[in-house]
This record gives sequence, C-alpha cells and structure tokens, in this order.
Amino acid sequence: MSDKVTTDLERETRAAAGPAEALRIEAADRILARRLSPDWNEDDQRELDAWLKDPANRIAYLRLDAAWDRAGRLEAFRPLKRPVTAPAPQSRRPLIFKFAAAAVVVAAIVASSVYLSQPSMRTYATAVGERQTITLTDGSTIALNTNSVLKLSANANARMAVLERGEAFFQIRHDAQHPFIVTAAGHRITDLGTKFIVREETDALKVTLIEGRARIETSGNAAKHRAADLTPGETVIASADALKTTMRPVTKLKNEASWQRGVLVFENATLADAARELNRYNTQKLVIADASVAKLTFDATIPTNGIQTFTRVAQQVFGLRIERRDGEVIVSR
Amino acid sequence: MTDTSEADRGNAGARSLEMIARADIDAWFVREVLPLEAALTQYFRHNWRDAAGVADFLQDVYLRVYEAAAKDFPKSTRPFVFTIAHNLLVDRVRRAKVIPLEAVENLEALNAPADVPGPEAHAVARDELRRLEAALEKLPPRARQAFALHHIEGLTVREIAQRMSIGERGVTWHLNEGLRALATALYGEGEKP
Repeated sequence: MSDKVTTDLERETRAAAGPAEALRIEAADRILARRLSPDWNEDDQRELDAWLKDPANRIAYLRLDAAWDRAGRLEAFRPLKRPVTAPAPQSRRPLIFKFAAAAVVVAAIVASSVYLSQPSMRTYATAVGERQTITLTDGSTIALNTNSVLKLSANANARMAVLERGEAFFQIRHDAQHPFIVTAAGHRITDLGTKFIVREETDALKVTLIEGRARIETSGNAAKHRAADLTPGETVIASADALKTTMRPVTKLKNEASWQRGVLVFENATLADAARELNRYNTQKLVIADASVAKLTFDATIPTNGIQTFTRVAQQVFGLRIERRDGEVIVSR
Repeated sequence: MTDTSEADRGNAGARSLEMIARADIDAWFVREVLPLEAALTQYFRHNWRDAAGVADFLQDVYLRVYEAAAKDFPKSTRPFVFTIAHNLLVDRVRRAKVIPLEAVENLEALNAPADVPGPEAHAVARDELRRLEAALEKLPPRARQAFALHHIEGLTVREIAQRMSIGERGVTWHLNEGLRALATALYGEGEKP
C-alpha cells in the first residue's frame, strides 16, 4: 500500500469521526508522540501537560495510555536471544560489563572445575541514565533501572537472579516447581507469583511488593536470621540483621515504578531527596548548598533526565539561585 | 477532599505544582473505572438503540465520573459509575426531540444489567497475555502488523516503515488506529466473550 492510500484513509477516518472518536485520535497522536519521538523535549512535555489539564482530554489520554501500557506485555512473545549465538552489541555495553566478563574468563581459567559446577550466569548492566528490560522465556520480565548490575541464571530451570547494584523491577510468572529467587546484599527474596521492586541503598536493601506475594529472608549468618512475607503495598527495608516493614496505599506504589516510564514522581519530597534521586540518573550532579534549601518540599513529576526541570522549579517556585560549574549544578539561596 | 493524611504530614511548606489528588484519581480511574467499560457498553447498547454513539456516551460518563470523583471521592466505584451512567442516559432520553421508537425500552427499567460480571480483581499474567493476544487478533491487519512489530519485535517507527514499505507517517497512523482498537477490545468488549 502506498503512503498516499494510507494518508487518504487517515484523512477520511479523521473527517468521519464523531466527537469522542476525534478526541481519541488526538489523544493517540499525543501518546505516540510522547512515547515514540526520538527528540521529545521539555517544551513538548509542557505543551502536553497543558493539554492534559482539561479533564475531557485527560480521560481520553489515560484510557489509551493504559491500553498502550498493557500492550507492552506483548513483549513476552519476543523470542529470547541465546546469549552465545546472539550477544548484544558490545558498543552499547558499559565498561562494567567488560570487567565482569573478563572476571568470568579469569575465574574460569583459574578454577574451571568450580566455575563449571556453578549455574552459569549472564550479566546485564546499565549505565547512568540507561534502562533495560530483560524478557525471560517464561514471559517474566525484569526492568533494570539506571546504574545497575544484574546477574541472571542462563539455565531456564534454575530461576535465579543476583542484583549486584542498583534497582530492578521484577514481574515474575509464577511456577510452583521453580520459584524465582533474587539475592541482593545478602538477602534473599522468593517470589510466589509477583511484581516487586528491589533497590539497593547505601546500607540497606529496599523491597517493595506491588502485586502478588513474596518472601524476604535476611542473610543467614546474621545474628538474627529473620524472614517476612510481603503483601501488596508493603515495603521492607532490610539491613544486616533487621527487617522494617512499612505499608502504603497501592495508588502510591505507581510512583515507585514510574522510572520505567522515564519520569520520577515526587510528592511532598524535600529538594534534597529529589536531588539525590535525580543524581542517580544523571552524570551532571545536583548539589544543594545549604540546609534550609534542602528542607523545602514540593510536588512534581520530573523526567529522569530533567536536571533542567528541577532547576526551573528551584528558580521559579522557590526563587533559588542556580550556578553551574565542573559538571555540578549548585542550588543555593 | 480525598485522603491526604499521608501527604499532609509535615506539609506546611509544600508548594504544589500538580494537585496530589489528581495522580490518585488517575490511578483509580485506570484501575477501577476502565474495567467497567464492557459493562457500560453493554448497558448502553441494551438501553439505547443507536449503538453508534457508544464512544460519545462512554466519554460523557467518564468525564462526569472523573469530575465528580475529584470533588468527592467515592467509597464504592461500581454503583457510583452506574448511577452517573443511568442519570446520563435518562437525560439523553428526555433531551431527544424525537425519541426513536423503542429507543428506550422503558425509562424506569434503566438498570445496570445484573448478568454482567464485575471486573476481575486480579488479572493473572497468563490471562492478560491471552487477552492481549485475542485483542491483537481483532485489529485491522495493517494496524496489527505495525503493533506487533513495535510491541513484540521492539522495532522503532523507522524500522517498521522499512519493514512494511510505507512512510513513517503511515506507521504512526496504523499505530494510532491499532491503539484505539486495542483499547476498545481490551476494555469495551469485555474480559470474556
């Protein structure tokens, strides 16, 4: 079919659409632009936000956007590429992967018998600001957030992952015979058919359950070996020997996973928290110069690469000063 | 207002760029209202002969639901939505200058059909995939191809254009068409036939 025929069809459809259908076409146009434009920028986002202020536009958009999100799961039908026959392009891999690969080779030479007895693991790594979604043959998906390293068992029967650094969102297809086990910072999470987020922080591990059930166990050699079963909405902070559980409304959990859409949602967040969060995604680092500034709170939805959005909020909403030097953005009174 | 207890804690100095409540209403709308679309569609078709207007009807219902929820958040979604749908349909009947014969079987009998199953509280991943696959099957062929190339194969618009031998604008249009049809297949035509 030539492009002209498509265009004619398009024109006719648009002309013939009733008011609600016309609005759906426009909302779909905007969703596709937002999600597929390679050069989507902050001006585009602002224009979209203004359009979404009208509730009629907003509901048409929400409805189609939710359908697009659901269609994202179709990815599960994509055949998983075999690690050996089809390696991912080297150029896109951050340095850490090459080190990890080199380490594996060294280990294999030094102690091949030990290495061979271990289930073979494949390493996935993302650079700062990068995201990657891994689809397993059983339809489970793992979304790897910025600056993260995950090892995944290459054997389909041993469903095992090790989060070595950063944050990952797991959507695991339940299989009673082969539970999916994630280890991170010495803790073990066993899924019982779930969606959950694991995030490594400076001295603790944060596990948030969105859907289903999961169990977390602290490292075995700790003085007090403890375990907790999570229910949706619960977040567990696991340190070396303790588990602390907090519960939040499930609607708030959407914000925890918003990085998958490339945005961060801040609600009543301090500027210090927001800056720390944004710094995970950007090589340019925000520095809050004084304590009184750090404590200011605000609500905003900011793209993960939105250092500029942040500085605009700081300037326009709080009247703060912005100074750029040596890859740092300094925010002060 | 809605439940802001958590947001209010220590919030004296907070300045809002976006209403907090809106994010919650958006999430509620997607999670609890959209799954009622099949029941609403059936309700409309059952009580209004001109089935062509279903998109406009749904849009009217959703708009009123969304705006009413922003003022006063409902405790129970389903009765809330169907009360609004009922009132809207009654208004339509009263406003219609010429009521088509049998347009409405009986104004008093306007009720949510009792046999429509409620939304599944929990969509199992496997069911979701089966449902998506079935919805994909219903799309117009070109839209289905563009959709599959993007969502399954992970191709960009440019790559799809090459694969389908059409322009990028054509691809965007097919995706637009596909997205609208998919939403209707997923929400409007019921979880089960």
